[in-house]
Amino acid sequence: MSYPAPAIPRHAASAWFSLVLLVSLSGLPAIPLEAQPQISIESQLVEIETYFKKGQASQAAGILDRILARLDAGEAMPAGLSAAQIRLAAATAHFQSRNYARAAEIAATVPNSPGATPQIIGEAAMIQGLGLALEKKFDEALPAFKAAAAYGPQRDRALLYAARAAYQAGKPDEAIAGYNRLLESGLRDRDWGDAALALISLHLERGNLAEAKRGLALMRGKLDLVDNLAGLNILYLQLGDSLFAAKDYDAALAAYRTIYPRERLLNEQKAINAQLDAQIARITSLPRPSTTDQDLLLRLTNRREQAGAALERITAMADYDNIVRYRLGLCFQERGGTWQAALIYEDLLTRHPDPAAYYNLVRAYADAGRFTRVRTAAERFQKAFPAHELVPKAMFLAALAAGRTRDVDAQLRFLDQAVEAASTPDLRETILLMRANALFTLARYDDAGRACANYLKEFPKGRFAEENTYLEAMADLNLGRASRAEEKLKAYLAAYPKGKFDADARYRLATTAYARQDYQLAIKITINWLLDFPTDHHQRGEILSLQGDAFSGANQIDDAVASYTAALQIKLPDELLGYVLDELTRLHQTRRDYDTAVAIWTDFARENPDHPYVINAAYWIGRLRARQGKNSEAIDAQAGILRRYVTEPQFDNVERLLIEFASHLAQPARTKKKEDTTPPVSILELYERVETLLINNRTGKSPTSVARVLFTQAEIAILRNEPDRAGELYRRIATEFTPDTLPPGILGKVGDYLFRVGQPEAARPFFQRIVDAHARSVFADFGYQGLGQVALRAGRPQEALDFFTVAVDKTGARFKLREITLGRGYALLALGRLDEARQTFESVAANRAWRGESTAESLVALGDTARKSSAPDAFAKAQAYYQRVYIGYKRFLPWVAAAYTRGAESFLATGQRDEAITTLQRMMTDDRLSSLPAFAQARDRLRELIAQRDGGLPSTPRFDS
Amino acid sequence: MSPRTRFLPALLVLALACVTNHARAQRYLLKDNSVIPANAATLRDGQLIATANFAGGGVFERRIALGDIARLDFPIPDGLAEAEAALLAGNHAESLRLVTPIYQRFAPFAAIPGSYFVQAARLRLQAQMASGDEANATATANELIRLDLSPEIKGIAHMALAEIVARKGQPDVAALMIEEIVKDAPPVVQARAWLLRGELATRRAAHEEAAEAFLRVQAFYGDQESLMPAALLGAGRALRAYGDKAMSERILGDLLDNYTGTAEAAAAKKELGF
Repeated sequence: MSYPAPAIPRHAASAWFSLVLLVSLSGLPAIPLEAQPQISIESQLVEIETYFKKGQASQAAGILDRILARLDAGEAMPAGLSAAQIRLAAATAHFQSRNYARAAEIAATVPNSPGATPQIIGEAAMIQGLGLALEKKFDEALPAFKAAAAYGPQRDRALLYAARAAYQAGKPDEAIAGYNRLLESGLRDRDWGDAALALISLHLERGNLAEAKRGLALMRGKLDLVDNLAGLNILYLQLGDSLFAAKDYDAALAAYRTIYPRERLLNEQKAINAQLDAQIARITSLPRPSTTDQDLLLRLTNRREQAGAALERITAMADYDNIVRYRLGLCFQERGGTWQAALIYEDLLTRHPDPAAYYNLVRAYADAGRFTRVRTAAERFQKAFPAHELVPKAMFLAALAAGRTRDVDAQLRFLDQAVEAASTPDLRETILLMRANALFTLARYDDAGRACANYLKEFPKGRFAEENTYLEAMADLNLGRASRAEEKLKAYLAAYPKGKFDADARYRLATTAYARQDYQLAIKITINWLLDFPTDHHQRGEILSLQGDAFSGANQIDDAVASYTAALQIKLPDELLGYVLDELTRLHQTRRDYDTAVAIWTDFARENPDHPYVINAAYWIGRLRARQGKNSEAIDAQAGILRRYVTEPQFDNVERLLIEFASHLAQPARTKKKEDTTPPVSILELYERVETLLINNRTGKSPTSVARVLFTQAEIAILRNEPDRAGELYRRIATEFTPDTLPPGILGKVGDYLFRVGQPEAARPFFQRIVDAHARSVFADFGYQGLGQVALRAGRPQEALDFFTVAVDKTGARFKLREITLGRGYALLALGRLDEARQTFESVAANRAWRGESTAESLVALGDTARKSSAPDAFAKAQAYYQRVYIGYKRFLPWVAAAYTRGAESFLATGQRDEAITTLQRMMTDDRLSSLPAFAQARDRLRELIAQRDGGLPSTPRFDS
Repeated sequence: MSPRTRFLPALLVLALACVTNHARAQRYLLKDNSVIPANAATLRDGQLIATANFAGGGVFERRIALGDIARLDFPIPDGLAEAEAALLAGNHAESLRLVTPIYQRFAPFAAIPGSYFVQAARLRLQAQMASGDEANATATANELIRLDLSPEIKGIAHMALAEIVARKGQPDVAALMIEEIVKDAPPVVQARAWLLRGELATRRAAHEEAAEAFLRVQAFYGDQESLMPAALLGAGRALRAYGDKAMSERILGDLLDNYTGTAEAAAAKKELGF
């Protein structure tokens, strides 16, 4: 650090001139030197001035020393001149002669000299400080600079030098205090900029990140005061790194963001350096630069050197921008800005494929939950750097992402890739466990078991040895290898007596015992389990249920009832709850204790009014009362439950119960053999009864309750085989109620009706309402399926496919899986995705639960799919499908008709007109088809074909296209 | 030392103080290094008319071509900062009211260093766009393009025109315009381009694409503070529509924490249910 020569103190300078004036005005005659025993001080002052003007400060200094000696000897000062002024001038002269020690020595005597004004003292202090500093006596220089800062207009420079001296003296706290004072109150110039840089650097050195951040904030908007822009940018980079390491990601981000792009930085710094060079050249070229100029020159040179060094450093860093960009990405990522981080990494990778950037990209997508992108990013990484050590970790993340999207196949694929390349034992162990779990989830129990065995072979004392031991036993259990599973479970319990899976392992042993009908052993295990584990254990309900099963199997009905009843006191998962309730009901029924069974359900319905099983309660109450011959009680009990919820549109289970309720009303009451059978109640009377039972003073006639009444009446009409009445009621609901007042079950039924009668656009709002307002309802699939059908009808197969996909993914397709699957098939067919369409229709045809009309329809669709194929045997295959329908599914007339007509067309397409005619003739023999529109069309077509055959007429367009 | 020289430093200080005060006065700095106080000059017929005194008494007029003005040395006009604050707070009419006189005042000096025309024009354009005054915004934008003052302001003007095209229901045309505008454009224009792309994607319900476009502003143009509230609000909404509620709330929280008082922060507060 260099210290500039001070300017001639203005005060001292003015003193010269006034002295000269005084001498001139005093009229004192000139006395030749040789005639005097001692030259007068006034004469010496003139000589001094001459030497100064010639730039011979050392000569002036010598004379001033002699004057000081005379003053010390007691000689009086000339009038108008003070000792302080002389001493100041002497100090200045010595300083300009680079005799810094002497300059400082003299300057130190100024404050105590007669005539020492505050300004003189301040200037002397400055010289003293600079002199000492240039002698590297920074400790001593510091108080001098502080004194200088207290006086006069050199305050800012004095503060700057004081801060520098403090730093050099190993007093960083004082240096910081000095810089802070300057920055707060100093003039905003380039010295201020230098001070700010120095302060940030100092704070950084000392790890004062909070203060460094403050400095960062101070610099914003003042970058025009900084000549060493390159140095500042390097400082920001260092600051950003320090803040990142300290986990202050917001501040690190702010620091990195302030960094200029390399090209801009280099250009601007080069321009600044050129300006500095020009300024330096200007001053250097001056014939007699003033001390102010010399001061400035030293500071400029210092600044230029530092800026030049920083510029060289950045010039050498060709990947400077990428370094900064990568850090920005990390900052965003660590502070939770995963989307932004991903954008940055993607951008970085376009310029600079880098393994770390790839891996962090995968991580960013994974953290953001954007699982599809995780997978593609992992694949890209592997393709770009197949052997990199981070690839297995990326594959692992991709596997996790695949698991989150429930794509277990993909999960396994990623895990297989990860395990191949896993470089560290820790990672390998984790991946192996995950792989075993994935195989288990995919129900590949054999493979899962093998995977566990392999893990245990490779890592017998690994971190996941317990998990693999247990999972291997579970794999055997799921494969039905009960005895092997038992052995392994016992081995597990022996090896891990208080293991993580202790409770579950004992539960599984009880189930295996039950499975081989060793009920007493199962009972014993469950009794011990209940004693050993706390009452709030999450598996307690399962144990009690199993115990009930075991007691039941052992014909200990009272004990079974007690176990099941105890299970009911615990919060059970729905599936188990339903099972336990059903089993209790069954047991009570076997004892013909219907009242207790009814009470169980009645209590359940009262205590769990919002539970979906309230419907089950109504069902069982109705059935049990009907068993007792108490049909009207059954109906009343169900109506009682229904009335609680009939006005609540959001309670969508009501529709399910209404369907049950309708079936009880529509079917004649059971009677004893000896009683007279009374005629069935008329449908209109039933309609009235529905209204009476469901609507009362409490329920009122809200739109929802009225709509539900109509809905129930429609269900009765269907059960009574009066579809026209049902249609009329659906039409009423559609016209009298807006979709927003209807519950989802009714929306779905009305939408279906309107679609069925050829009004898809009228149906749309009803389906749309389900999707918009009842997406979580049990009837949600009505909505998505309906919209899919509307789109398909309107010729928008992709939109339809999207709806059908969502129907399955989001709603589980509780009611409409068949329609959805068929719909998907038609959409795929329309989109030309023939293989997928074929697989879809095949799945419908093969589904035994849907055996019937759907099978016929799917076979026709398979025929249509085959016809679109370009395979050589396409039409033959199509023909085979059609034939299966009209031979094997004769009950389903519309599909039989379709199979005939399409079969005929497929013959025609292959030039087999006679076979086409035969097919249509065969169709004509089936009178059952005669009322169908297709029959008339087929008849006309047959006539045409015959006419062509016999008369050679040209062919006419197909009628079924 | 004579009394005169003793007090010289004090006089000097006072003199400096006077000079400092006079530095905040309004001045025209001419290319011939002369200085015309603004209160001694008027603008007439496209020229600056300065009045000066003859040494022996009397006044004469000096006509100065605007091209001879090297620089305006004017303090920041009253109302400029308030206009920006009003715009940020969503008070577009107030912003326009404050900035229009500044715009008009500095219009003759649009290309002269030290003029506040560019800042005023940018604010005016933004206020017109924000208040939906597309006719006037188009005129302002076209004027700025014609003046060709800087790549930045020209790019901003072009982007405004693209946005107007988008608002008129021609998103594809707007997208093509954006592609052309951003070629070699300065960062502020590129940032605006991403904002507009985000809005176009939002209208198409392409929520993931919209979120990415808005977040690009935060990721790559973090120093464009004036654009950040709109970027964060757009991103927050797009993320919620996409289904990432947690990220949406984080982004909107950033907006609330860092850009309090803006119209976008008020909207975010409402959407977060505060």
